[in-house]
Parts: sequence; structure tokens; C-alpha cells
Amino acid sequence: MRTGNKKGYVLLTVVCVFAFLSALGFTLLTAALANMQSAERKLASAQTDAYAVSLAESVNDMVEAGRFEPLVSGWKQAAAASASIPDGRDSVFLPGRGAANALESEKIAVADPADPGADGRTVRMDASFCLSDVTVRRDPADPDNRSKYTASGTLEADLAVTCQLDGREVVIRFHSTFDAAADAGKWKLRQFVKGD
Amino acid sequence: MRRKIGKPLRDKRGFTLIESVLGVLLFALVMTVVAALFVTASRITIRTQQSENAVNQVIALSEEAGADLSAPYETRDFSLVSGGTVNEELRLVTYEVSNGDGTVRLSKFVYAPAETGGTP
Repeated sequence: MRTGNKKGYVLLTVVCVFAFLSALGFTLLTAALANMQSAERKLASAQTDAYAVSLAESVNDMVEAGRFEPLVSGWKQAAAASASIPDGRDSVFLPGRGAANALESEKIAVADPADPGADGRTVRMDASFCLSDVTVRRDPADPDNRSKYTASGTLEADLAVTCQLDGREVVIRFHSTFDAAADAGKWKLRQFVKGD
Repeated sequence: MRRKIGKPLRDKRGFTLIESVLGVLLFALVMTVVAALFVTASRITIRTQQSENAVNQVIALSEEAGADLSAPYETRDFSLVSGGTVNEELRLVTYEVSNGDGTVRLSKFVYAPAETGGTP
């Protein structure tokens, strides 16, 4: 073997080993960085989920605590006033969902003063309530007076929580169904489902 | 003597001294860079693992806590308006887990009217 060729082989081998080690190092570094971003994404996703689920649960708690009752009473009265009970019957059943009543919240700032990176984070909720499967009854004491009709049924809520976190906007939807509780003016959560 | 001075520095069978020195320096340089890559990658992996553990812990902590208000909290006004108004105060409870060189935080809302307790 000529000396020139031998040197060439040695150099080629060394260059190949270096190239392999460098490629391996870059691959490991890229994978590590990708994992790091994945952990950050997991935290951001968990935070969005925590804000949305807890806000929707809070609204459910408020409904159960009777905080919505002034509104719900008005919706019941409207449902009763718009119903017509056939002559000779004490009540009428209106299946399905009634008119929707939309409510929305202002943006709630959720930035943590101890976490400067969380500036500008906001959460907002849009809610649409309706009474479904409503039964409208006459007042036994004054059966012909339409203004004394009473309505009862199931309360349904479509909740959409919009989270603005670190420049991303995520909307998470929920659906809650409440049955009338034994205590007047209170509701009991029957179903709480997270949507798309 | 003349022959010695005239003798080339290159040995016919191998590398010259300068080539060898440059080769060793280049080898050391490249190996340093490669080692730095490996060390950085392993450090990032360890930090990521710590961070992921902390994320899992803080998620579990917030889920287990339920409406427990032992963690520090702040209050936020919550108003649902349009054809009627519901004004309430929500508590923004923040759970924290340390992950070695930092803290992982997860916040959630808790509806706890004043009469049901809770400490700031």
C-alpha cells in the first residue's frame, strides 16, 4: 500500500468517526429539546384544562347553591306565560329544549403575580341556559289566571370557556344538566360532560 | 551533514510532526465539541425529567385537592351578564411543586362562598 493511500484511509476513518459522533450528539440534543418542549406543552395543556374545568364546575356549584335562581325564576315565568294549557287539563308537558338564555362573562385576568411569564392570561365564559322538558301547571287556587301558571323542568347549560394563554386561544365546551332539587330554588347536577 | 540538512521533514512511512500536532489539536477540538453536545443533551434530559415529574405531581395535587383551600389563593370577580346578572367571587387557587431549579405552578378556580370557609 502506498503511503499516500494509507494516510488517506486514516483521515477518512477519523472524519467518519467524528461525523458519526457529531450526528449522534445532535440527534440526542434535538430529542432532548423536543422532550423539553413536550413537557412545557403538557403543563400548558393541563393549565388550560384546569382553568376551563374548574370554571365550569364553579358555575355548576353556583347553580346548585341557588345563585342563579333570580334568573331561572324569570325564565320559568316566561316559559309558563308562553304556554297554553288545553281546557279541561291541569297541566301541559312541553318536551325538548326551550328558549336559550345567553350569558357571558368579562375576561378574568388569571396572571399570577409570582409568575411574570403568566402576564396577559385571561379566561372568559359564555353560557347558554335553557329549561327543557317543561311542565306548565295551573294554579289550583286560580286555574284560569295565566299569570299564575307555574313551570318546572330540567335546567340545561351549555358552557364555553375561552382561555387565552401565552398567545394561544383555546375554547373548551361543557354541557351540564340539572334536576330540580327538593329545596325550592336549588338544583342538583345530574350530568356534566366535557365537549369538543 | 549536507545530507542531514537536506533530508525532508516528512517521513515516507508516516505523518510529519506538524501534521501529527495539528491532528491531535483537531481531534481534541472535535472531541470537546462532541462531548459538549452529549453533556448538554443529558443535562436537558435530566431537567426535562424533573420538570415532567413536577408537572405530573402538580396535576395530581390539584386533582386530589378538590375544593380544599389549603393552597394559597387570590380572588377574582366573576360576572355573567346579558339579560340578567350573576356576580360572584371565585378563588384562584395555585398549587406549586418545586422541580430542582424552578417551580411548576398550576392554578384553578374554586367556588367557595365566604360562609363555607377557606383561609387566604
